[in-house]
Amino acid sequence: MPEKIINYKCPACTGPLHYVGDSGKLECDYCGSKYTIAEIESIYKEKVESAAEAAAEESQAEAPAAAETGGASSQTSSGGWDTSSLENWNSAGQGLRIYSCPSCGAELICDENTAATRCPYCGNPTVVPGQLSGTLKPDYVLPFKLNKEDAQKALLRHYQGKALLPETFRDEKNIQEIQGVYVPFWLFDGTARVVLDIDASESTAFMQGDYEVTETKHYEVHRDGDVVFEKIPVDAASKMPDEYMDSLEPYDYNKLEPFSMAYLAGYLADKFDVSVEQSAKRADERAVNTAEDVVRNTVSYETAVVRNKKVTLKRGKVHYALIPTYLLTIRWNEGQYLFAVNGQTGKVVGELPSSQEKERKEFLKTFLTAVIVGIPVLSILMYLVMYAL
Amino acid sequence: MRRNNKVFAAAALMLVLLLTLLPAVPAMAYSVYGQLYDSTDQLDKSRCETMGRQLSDLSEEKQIDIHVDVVNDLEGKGIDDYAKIFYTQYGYGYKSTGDGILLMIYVTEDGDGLQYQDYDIVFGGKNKDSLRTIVSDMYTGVGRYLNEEAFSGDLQSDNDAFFHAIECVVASVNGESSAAAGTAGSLSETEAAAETAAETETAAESVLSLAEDGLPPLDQVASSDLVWDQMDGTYVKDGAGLMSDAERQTLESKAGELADRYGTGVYVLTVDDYRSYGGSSSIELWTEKLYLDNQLGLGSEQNGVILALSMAERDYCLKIYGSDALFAYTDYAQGQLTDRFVSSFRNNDWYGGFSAYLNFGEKILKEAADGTPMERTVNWAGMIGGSSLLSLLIGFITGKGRVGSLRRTMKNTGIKRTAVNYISHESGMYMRSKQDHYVNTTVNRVRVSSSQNKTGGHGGGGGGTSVNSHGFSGGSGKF
Repeated sequence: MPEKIINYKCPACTGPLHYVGDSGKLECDYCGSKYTIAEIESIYKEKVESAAEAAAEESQAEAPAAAETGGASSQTSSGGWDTSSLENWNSAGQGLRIYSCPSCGAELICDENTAATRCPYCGNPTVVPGQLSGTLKPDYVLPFKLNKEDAQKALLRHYQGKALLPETFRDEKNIQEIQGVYVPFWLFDGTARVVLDIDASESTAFMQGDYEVTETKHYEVHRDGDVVFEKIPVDAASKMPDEYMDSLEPYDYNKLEPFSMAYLAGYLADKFDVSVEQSAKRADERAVNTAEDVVRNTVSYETAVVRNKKVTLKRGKVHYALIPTYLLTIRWNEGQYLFAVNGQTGKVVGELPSSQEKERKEFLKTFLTAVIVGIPVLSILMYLVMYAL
Repeated sequence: MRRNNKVFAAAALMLVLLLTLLPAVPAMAYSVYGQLYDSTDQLDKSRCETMGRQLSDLSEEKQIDIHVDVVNDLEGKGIDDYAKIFYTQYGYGYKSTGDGILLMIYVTEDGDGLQYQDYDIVFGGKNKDSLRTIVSDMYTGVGRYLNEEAFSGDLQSDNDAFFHAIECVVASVNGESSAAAGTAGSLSETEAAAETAAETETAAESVLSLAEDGLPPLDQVASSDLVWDQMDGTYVKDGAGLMSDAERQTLESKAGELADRYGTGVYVLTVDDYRSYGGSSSIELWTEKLYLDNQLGLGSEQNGVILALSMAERDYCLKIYGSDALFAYTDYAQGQLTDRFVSSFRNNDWYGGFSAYLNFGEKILKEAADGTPMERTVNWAGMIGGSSLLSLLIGFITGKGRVGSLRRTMKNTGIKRTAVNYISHESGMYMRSKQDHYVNTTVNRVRVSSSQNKTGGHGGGGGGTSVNSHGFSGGSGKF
């Protein structure tokens, strides 16, 4: 059975609503009306709660029903056609869910973690409340600031200055898809205590007659300090490449808002599928590395060698947040290239292709310049060193 | 028998008297108090120490090497000459500027005190004009105390006169009028002024007539006691005993051969410590003076080259004299020669070093005899070839580097290992404890020797031979 989902519709004209970062409001695609998050929340409050309950009940009922209808039926037939090889699709077992679009009634098959999507038939944005409610409800959402056009422009700006980029890659038509996605993140708070024992020294040198005298003073240095961290981000979606998500940092946490599903309208969203325990290791590593550096930098001698170190982590709160990202897919030369754009700051990350012909040209240019300049300069230097000085 | 007994008794008495009187014969003594030298040992020690320290501090402050030397024997010379010899022999003059002033006081001793005889002031260095002004004022001041009346015959008042004179020296260097310093036992100002006028004229003569290269004339340099002909050998004199007889003979034959063939004396001298022979404290001046005093070299121009080693402080000195020898031993040749023997001497290979000196010396003399003294030649083809190869290599590396760095700009993803942006703004970092505990100090001393080799030149750009005001080329260093 398809699950209950919500389309946020314009109260004025029932057109689809989507969240716009610039205005911070939900805007209607048809009539242009704008509504604040609070207004839409109050209108849809009952619908969201009942949809979440229904989603929970239906997922419990679905399992036995799926067991009853699963498996091949050699006796099933339809109008003379042999359908004995057909099986009922147990979507829960294959990590997929079926939703029914409230606008057009189309059945949508989505990933089990999908929390917001767009109906491919009528184009209405849809939200699955059950994915983001109860214990799965995020604490915060960082709303989108940029729209799709902004993301596309950011990508084109990213191309500038890339001397090895093939010219045909820059064509806008290569952009196959731009999707705004709220990526689930765990944000870790904590304190790292670092204790360091260091052997340090400082030297002075002077001439005494025919001798160069070097006096070195040796010190034993002890440091014990705490470094407090707030909201170290680790992405909680296994589908999202970690190096992309890390590279999109930093985010302006001052713009974090308490979670509301209204922000998701018009964007894709997934709930987390990487647990806190799995993510904590990465946060720990980042906290330990930084804390050691910070405490070590309080030692200012000419040489300092760490003899002993001990780092203790005191874990604090973990917050669950949805962070805005645009994913752009470029199709070029029979290959696909993925780029991510920070939906708040416009920072673009990804891997651009390199033109071999341009590489050859750059190499030759540099090589010839070095040789043409190098021969006379090195000859003069050699003469000065060997004969004149 | 009775007469013999009397003679014997008289002789015994005389012997006993002589033995008892021996301790009363004062030992030859002198004292040095910083910049103050007292050959009489009669001056008040504590006042000498104070004054010596004051002169040392003043010397550093004013960058003028100020000395006061009290002597009781001029060794048969006039005080002017003796003061100049003292000045050069002991290397007076401030290190960076060469500026120095020496007040030499000649006294004799009588039973009760010191008998003043004469004094002289000698100065030298770069800043002669300012030194002349100081010295003129100094004459005014010290002249009031350094006279027969001031040294009245008892040690207390003699000391007073002496130290008043030194106070005038200090006042003059400090730019204060030395006439105001001290009053007791001095000449009247009129008498002092009259003396000063006469003395000032001679102040000009007190200037050490240093040559442009800063060297004093050799006739002002003291001679050493080393007599060349008294040592074994003609060309090779191994006073320090570094070589066996056979080795010395071999070198002697080789040197003789070179002398016969090229008319140039190639000399070797080793001593334990050149300073023990007296003469200049500079090994270069010492060697030059020795060369000329002992009339080394061949021909009317005394053509020759000498390599002297002083083992006490591992000093060497290479000197060349005479137009033929100077033509052959160019600065470049000297540099090449020095590299060869110094490297052997550093390994205590004395025979190897002297052999290299003679063998390479033969090469130098041969090339000069052929009309082309040894000079560095510029190998243009080699240089351009070398720089071309190097440029190709640099071009390849730079080209690859450029492409590599451009490629790196194409990808900007990576896992973050730090969290600097997430340090709390409010709490941030808190230090529980910070302790820095001093443990100890270690000292490392390294002898710096290579920079002290100042011989000829390692191929000066223009070629030729550098010659000093004494007509010598060469230099010295440590091995």
